[in-house]
Amino acid sequence: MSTIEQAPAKWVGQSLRRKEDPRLIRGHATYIDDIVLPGMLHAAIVRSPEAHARIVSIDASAALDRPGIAGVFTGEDMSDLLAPLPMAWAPPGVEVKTPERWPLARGRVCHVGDAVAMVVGEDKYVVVDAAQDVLVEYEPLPVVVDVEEALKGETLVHESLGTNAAHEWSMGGGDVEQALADADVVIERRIVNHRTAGAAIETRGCIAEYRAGMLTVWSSTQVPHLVRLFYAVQMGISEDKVRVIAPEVGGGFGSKLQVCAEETLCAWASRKIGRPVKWIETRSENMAVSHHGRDQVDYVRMGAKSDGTITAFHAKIIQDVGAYFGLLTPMIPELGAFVMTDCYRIPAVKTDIVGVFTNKFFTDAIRGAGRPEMTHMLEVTIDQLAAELGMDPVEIRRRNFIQPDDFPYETPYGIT
Amino acid sequence: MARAVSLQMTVNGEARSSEVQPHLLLVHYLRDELGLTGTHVGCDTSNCGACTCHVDGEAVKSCTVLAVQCDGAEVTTIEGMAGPGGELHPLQESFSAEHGLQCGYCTPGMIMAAADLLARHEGSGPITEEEVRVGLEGNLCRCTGYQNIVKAVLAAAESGLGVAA
Repeated sequence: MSTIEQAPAKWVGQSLRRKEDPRLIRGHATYIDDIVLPGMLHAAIVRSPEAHARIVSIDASAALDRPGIAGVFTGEDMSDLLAPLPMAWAPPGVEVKTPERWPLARGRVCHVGDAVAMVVGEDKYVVVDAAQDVLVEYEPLPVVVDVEEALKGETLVHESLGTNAAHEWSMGGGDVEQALADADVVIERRIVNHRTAGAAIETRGCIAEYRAGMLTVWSSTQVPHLVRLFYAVQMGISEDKVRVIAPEVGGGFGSKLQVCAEETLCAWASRKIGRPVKWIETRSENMAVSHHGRDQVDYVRMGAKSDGTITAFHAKIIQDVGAYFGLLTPMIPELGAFVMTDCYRIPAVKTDIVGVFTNKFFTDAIRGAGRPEMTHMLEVTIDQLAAELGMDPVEIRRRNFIQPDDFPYETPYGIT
Repeated sequence: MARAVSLQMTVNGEARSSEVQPHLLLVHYLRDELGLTGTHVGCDTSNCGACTCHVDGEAVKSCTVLAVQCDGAEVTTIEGMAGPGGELHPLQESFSAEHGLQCGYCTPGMIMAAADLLARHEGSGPITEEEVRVGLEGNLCRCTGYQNIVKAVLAAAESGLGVAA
């Protein structure tokens, strides 16, 4: 064995102080709500209390009568937007039914919290009061919130799509059905992975300033480059005329990996009014309409020999998409499919995914995005297998680990 | 708009005087009127503690207090914790040394709540890990999992400060 001379300790192995800490611990950092621009207006959003309804009328007269209100805007006012909010996942050969998602509802709301109108004014207290004065008449429509119920298609979230099944996708390798038929023991179970919120301590927020043909947006975002592109697309501005600045971001965990309706609203309103517009999400809004995560009903089957060797794993994922797609929504369970064998040598695997619309806010990438769901499915099923075989749950895992001399190891679906 | 009310307050040792709306929250007075943006709003409902500052020596969630309720009070915010020469407060030092923060948004509230906790504990012997965890249960952090926050508070306590701000 050759000897490697130890490099002098400089950085490797040292505990380093973070460069950003001094401003964070002194209260000198600049988060989105710490930024104030000259002439800046504030925005508040009127949101639907109905899960599914036709908008009969919107009366903003009382709101507009309040002093300090610069405008109240509805979906109809924003017909000059060139594109709806984006869904950016299109795998070759998969049909994905994508409903249009506009920053403000156009004639119909599809989930509680769907944005119906935007109030812009001089003071953040005034716009919140005025938003409560906007009278919206709704005609309720049938609602479906259970994903398995929705899959039956009796109540449709989007009549025009003719189905609640948004997309179907499968991935796997090896002969799962044969392996299950040959197994000494087969475990079957239904697993519910509930809906969750990212809940960063700093809520979402942005300031948009449209001035002299240039759009500058400060946003508490994880993806400044992506939102820059989509502002350009939606508002019909050349991308080089758009600048997006992400200041200090107070947590995101995926919930700020999104092209948000409210950011587009502020950009549009700033161009309309000619002044900068700020919107800071409330915590109640954050829980309702910062995209959610998880929300799957899964049916899994696992086959094994009587000595605990796992021979097959099949997962059917019913993904609760919510009422629309976010930026990456249909991709989330696929990310789970890529890790479905995890650290185990399982020769035959398959994931079948169906995404289903319901009258809830949309789900998207939150903390692990599909992978924690799959890991949970796999591990609880291994526990159940161990119990079924009367084996120690640690021992059954050791027995199925990919061994050191298996590397480079190719999974049955072809990933090394 | 209601009629503005006059307000006197000593903030980080400096006498301030303003005319404010009676519905103005303390946190918005500190942030928007005085420009002390180190105190953050996290939940608007006094659940998360990001807005914690000290009013007359006690930790208070400033998103649920009206500014006019603090007329005549002495208020300390995160900006007032470092010494006159800019030297860090022991809790600021230990949060950095123990990696007790990531995004930093909850940190000012954590430090203000921890300072209050240690000050109240003064004279009761060494504070335990459990007492720190219970004492900070009104402050939420979504990044760290709390482990290093608790370590930072214990380290500051061990450094011998009575930690009265």
